[in-house]
Amino acid sequence: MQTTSASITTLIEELAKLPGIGPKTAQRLTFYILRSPTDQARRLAEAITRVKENAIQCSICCNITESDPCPICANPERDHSLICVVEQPLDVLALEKTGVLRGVYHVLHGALSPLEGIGPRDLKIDELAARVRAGVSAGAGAEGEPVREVILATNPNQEGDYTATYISQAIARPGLLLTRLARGLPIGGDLEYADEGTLSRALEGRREL
Amino acid sequence: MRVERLRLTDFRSYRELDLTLPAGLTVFYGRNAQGKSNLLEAISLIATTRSFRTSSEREVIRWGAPGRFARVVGDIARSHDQLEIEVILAEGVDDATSTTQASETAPATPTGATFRKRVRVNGSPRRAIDLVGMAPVVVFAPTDLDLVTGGPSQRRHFLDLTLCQTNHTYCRTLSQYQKVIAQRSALLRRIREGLDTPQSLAYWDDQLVRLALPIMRGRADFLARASLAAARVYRALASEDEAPATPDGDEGAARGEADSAALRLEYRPSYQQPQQPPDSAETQADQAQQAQQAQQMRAALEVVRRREIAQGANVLGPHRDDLGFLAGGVDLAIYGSRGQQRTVALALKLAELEYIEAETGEQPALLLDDVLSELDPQRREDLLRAVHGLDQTLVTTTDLTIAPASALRQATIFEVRGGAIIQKQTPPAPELSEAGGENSEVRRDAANLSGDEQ
Ligand SMILES: [Zn+2]
Repeated sequence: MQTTSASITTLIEELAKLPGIGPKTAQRLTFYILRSPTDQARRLAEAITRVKENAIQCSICCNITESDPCPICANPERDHSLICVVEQPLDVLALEKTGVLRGVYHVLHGALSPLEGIGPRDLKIDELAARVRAGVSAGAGAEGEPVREVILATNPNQEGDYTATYISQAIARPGLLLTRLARGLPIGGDLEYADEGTLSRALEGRREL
Repeated sequence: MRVERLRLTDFRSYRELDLTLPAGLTVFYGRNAQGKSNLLEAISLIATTRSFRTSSEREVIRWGAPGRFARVVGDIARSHDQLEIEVILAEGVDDATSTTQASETAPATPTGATFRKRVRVNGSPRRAIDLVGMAPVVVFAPTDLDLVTGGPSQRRHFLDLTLCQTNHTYCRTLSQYQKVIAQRSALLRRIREGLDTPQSLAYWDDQLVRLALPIMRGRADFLARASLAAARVYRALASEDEAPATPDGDEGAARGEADSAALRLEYRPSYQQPQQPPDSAETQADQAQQAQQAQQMRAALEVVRRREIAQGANVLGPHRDDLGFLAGGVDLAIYGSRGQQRTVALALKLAELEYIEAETGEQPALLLDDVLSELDPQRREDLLRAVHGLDQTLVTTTDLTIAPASALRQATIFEVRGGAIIQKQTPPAPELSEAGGENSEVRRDAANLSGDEQ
């Protein structure tokens, strides 16, 4: 693209680095931004800068937040003796959308994978162990009370299972209930198209009606 | 099963192809690099979702294909139904818009481009793994002639391909096992370097044992059942000049000759299960027995623990299995003649065909890619006699004259030249097959055709 200005080329290149965006989409987005009002473009630029400057890690649950502790950890209405362990901040969003979980979270920022060189030190496992040892943290209502249950909500694949197994061994203590999310059939899915792994796990996890 | 129609778009040398395929024996002849083998490759792709010729599947997309994708559509006639199977291989498709639920995105390639495989059966999207076994094939290519003498990985691949076509659970277990093996060896290296603790192995030991045992059972079962068929086919194929060259002289040779037909397949697992006392194996409940086997294998892993960590590699498990071939008690990989070893490879392939048919109720199509020229005239004749009566056999050859006349008489013959496929002969209609004149005329035609090829 010899005829295009350097700033356009730069934006296309930067956008194309984002996951899920190929060169064609990057071009489309660039020319969309070029045509849009200056205000809108500025807001986008500021939002991008702000997210990097303001986002910090919650000192309790390690989720990405703008305040420390994060709104969930600071909420006295929630059950702080129930910790749901997830791999990514996005998993918190997904679980929050269900509105079912009254407890709090712990974000590992990944799953153990020897193949990718991700070991226990690379995840927030020590932080979780310390949290369970110390009991419910200060400023959250029933402080000092023991943690009652840890739900291991890592992904239902080998890395997620390994991570859950590893953590359950690392934090096990008398009186602490360790649970794993049930795995079953996707809602709205067709039994016929469910793979055998999903089907057999759904069968194993069946409940009495 | 039989492929009735094959349509290709931008597949290898074919920009566009629509080919109707008959039942029985079909021969494609033509010089090298004219596109004969591409036809068999396309069929193996819809049967196994993999190419038997390349591990880099993007190679099948025709150079300069405008859409950067290749499409293979096969109309399959099975014993009780009809299927249209479509496989699309696409590379570097930008944006998520063209992605479907059924697409499988391969890990990013070194160039950063993605490569997708999309599968449809009768128009409905399916996962690639669901395709395996729907339209079974048995491929016999020149590399298969080294099955006996080649590396163990080639023999494991043979076992896995056969079992995957008949058993989805095996296929899924194997693919999980391969991931476990990769993670576990990485973990062993991390432990060696002090980055992880040996305790971390417990989870992967459990996974390895859980997946290894059914894989080993599957292989042992298959070999036990295929052994009889392989021995029978081997006896039919092995010619008399093939006494194994036994190490102990004339007497041995004579004995070898007498026993040369008794081929035996021997499973050689890297982890040998302790022998169960004969009656306890019978009386023990299946589940209890499997639990005991798992415990034994876990204990065996403990024994090799230090070696595994030192080597940073998985020492025990089906990824290290092998397969041996014995005739008259002699290991044919070591003492067999070249001809014998090739006969074993052939017998094994034909036994595979019988096994798949017995397991699935569907007779696989047999694809013989350029193997006739690798066999001596006697074996060529034996082979084509052995495949007579199969639903569908597709053969490629550079030289039509080497095909036995008796087999050619019944065959459909196509010439493949520069990506064009020209039908040269249709098999005689059943009511004419008695008339010798017809047949010899056809045979002369075929001979002439191959004549102007030279
Ligand atoms: Zn928090």
